[in-house]
Amino acid sequence: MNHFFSWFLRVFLALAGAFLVSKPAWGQAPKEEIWRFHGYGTLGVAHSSEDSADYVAAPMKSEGPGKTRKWDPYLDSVIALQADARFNSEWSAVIQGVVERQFDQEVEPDLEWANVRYDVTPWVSIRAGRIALSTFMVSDYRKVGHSYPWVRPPAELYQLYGLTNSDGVDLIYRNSYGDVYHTAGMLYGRNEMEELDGALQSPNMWSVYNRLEKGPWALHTSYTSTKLEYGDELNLLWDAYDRFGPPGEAVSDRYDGNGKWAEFMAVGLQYDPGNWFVMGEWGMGDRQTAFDQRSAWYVSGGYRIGNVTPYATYARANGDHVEADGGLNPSRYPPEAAATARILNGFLDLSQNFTTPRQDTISVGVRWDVRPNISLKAQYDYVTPRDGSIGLFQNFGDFESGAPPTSFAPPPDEADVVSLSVNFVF
Amino acid sequence: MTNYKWIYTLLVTVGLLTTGARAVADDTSREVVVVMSAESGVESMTREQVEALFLGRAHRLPNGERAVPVDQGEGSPVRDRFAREILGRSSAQIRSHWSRIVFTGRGRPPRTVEDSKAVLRAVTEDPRVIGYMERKFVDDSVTVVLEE
Repeated sequence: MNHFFSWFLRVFLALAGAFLVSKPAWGQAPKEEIWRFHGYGTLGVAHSSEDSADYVAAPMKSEGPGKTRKWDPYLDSVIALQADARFNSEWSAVIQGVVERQFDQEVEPDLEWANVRYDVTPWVSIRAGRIALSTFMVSDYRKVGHSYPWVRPPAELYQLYGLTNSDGVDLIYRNSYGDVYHTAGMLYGRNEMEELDGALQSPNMWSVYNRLEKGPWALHTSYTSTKLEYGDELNLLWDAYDRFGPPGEAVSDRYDGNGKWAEFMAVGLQYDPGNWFVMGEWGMGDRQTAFDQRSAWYVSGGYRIGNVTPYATYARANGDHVEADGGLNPSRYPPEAAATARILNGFLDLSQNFTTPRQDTISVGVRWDVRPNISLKAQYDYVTPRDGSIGLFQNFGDFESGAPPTSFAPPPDEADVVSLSVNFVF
Repeated sequence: MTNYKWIYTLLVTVGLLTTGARAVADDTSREVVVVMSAESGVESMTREQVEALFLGRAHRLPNGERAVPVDQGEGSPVRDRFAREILGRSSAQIRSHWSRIVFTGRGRPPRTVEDSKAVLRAVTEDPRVIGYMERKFVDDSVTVVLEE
């Protein structure tokens, strides 16, 4: 955790607090104010019937309900504060700090985005700083529970691409053709993935997206290319393979993603005439290695009865990994080397299993808008890993005590996950 | 599977919560109309145009000027009626919609004023302002650009 951000967040919280006390009826000012303060949050708990592994249903998390805790408050809980400024009709700025349990199993504040925007014309804007990625239909607001119907975006798809921001620049183009509203964006930047403490980072990334809206229809498409660099820990496996000479080097060449550009694309379609909605989304990632492609999709629909919205979702994650190609052939080596080869192949399979879950989930839930800015949600997920995959039931281990990951446990056939949450915006 | 019981309880709760349907008394003086200054040069707008301005999709008036939409305070009956009749959404849906825009730094919701009288003042002061009010507050200084 960067000290600057922690310091910044403290100042920001103090400012926001002062603002709340001095001006309770905010947003009521007759003149457009330069600064506005907002916040959002979710307090949630989730329970899984599987107790041999955690249900890790969010990217950039390393734990969940199940083995670590029966009822887990960290999977969905988050709190954030934002300040945005409009200096004049061309210049504006936004800064948002988020506090949540991160991959390193600490509850810490982080800078979600902070950028300055210049509107060149009413149709074209450019931004510089930390900018939200628009990978998925709801990706740029995936932490804002109040903005979507579910307890969390369908995990099968949203775990495929976990980054939510990039440090760099982007260009946004907006136009309308009759009643069709068009937004297109281009982004270039980097993400150091501070939460992963150097295990993985992206020194370069670029992305394009396109969004068309017409009446109740919305169509979102995106393409993102992310250069990945792995830390020393993850390179140990390739070093070990390399010690087997040319056959081992061939394996690490096929699988090592270091320095390669991982591609990701997604398409989402939504129909929301007001009283009900149906939406579907599909995404595919290609790491440009023998780990191969992985894809996922979901369809979801709901019906609004007053302030209550029951909904249902079906989601499916697919992985294309071919196990026959998995590593060295142990039978070619003397017993000791063969044992090492088997262990390495086991790690290779494990990496594959961790990063390419094959799983289906049927979810039913209900959202109740208690007030326009407060919603309660309850969701039941029937989760079924398939084809020998452990799905999202993973054990990263306890980082504090140093307990190692235990992922060779047989995958569950099915699990029931129950989640409750309170969501608010202000 | 014990979860069936839980889902059943949930469905019953949903059923109970939604049976209290509210009857809304109709009275033309309470109808909500969308207004601009009589000097704005804008005579009428479609529902889609008004919706686009108040949901932050579009930022220009039909005459090409930059639009300044003005909202009424959250929770006011006029705002709820405007949301329901003109925008075709509940106040909760509109709040969700704006949280998607605000928390991604893509924009901010229209500024709010106290009541229909304040909307009248704001509209007459600036020809780029578009607001809504109860019909009974309409006078010569404004043009009704859209009715319920």
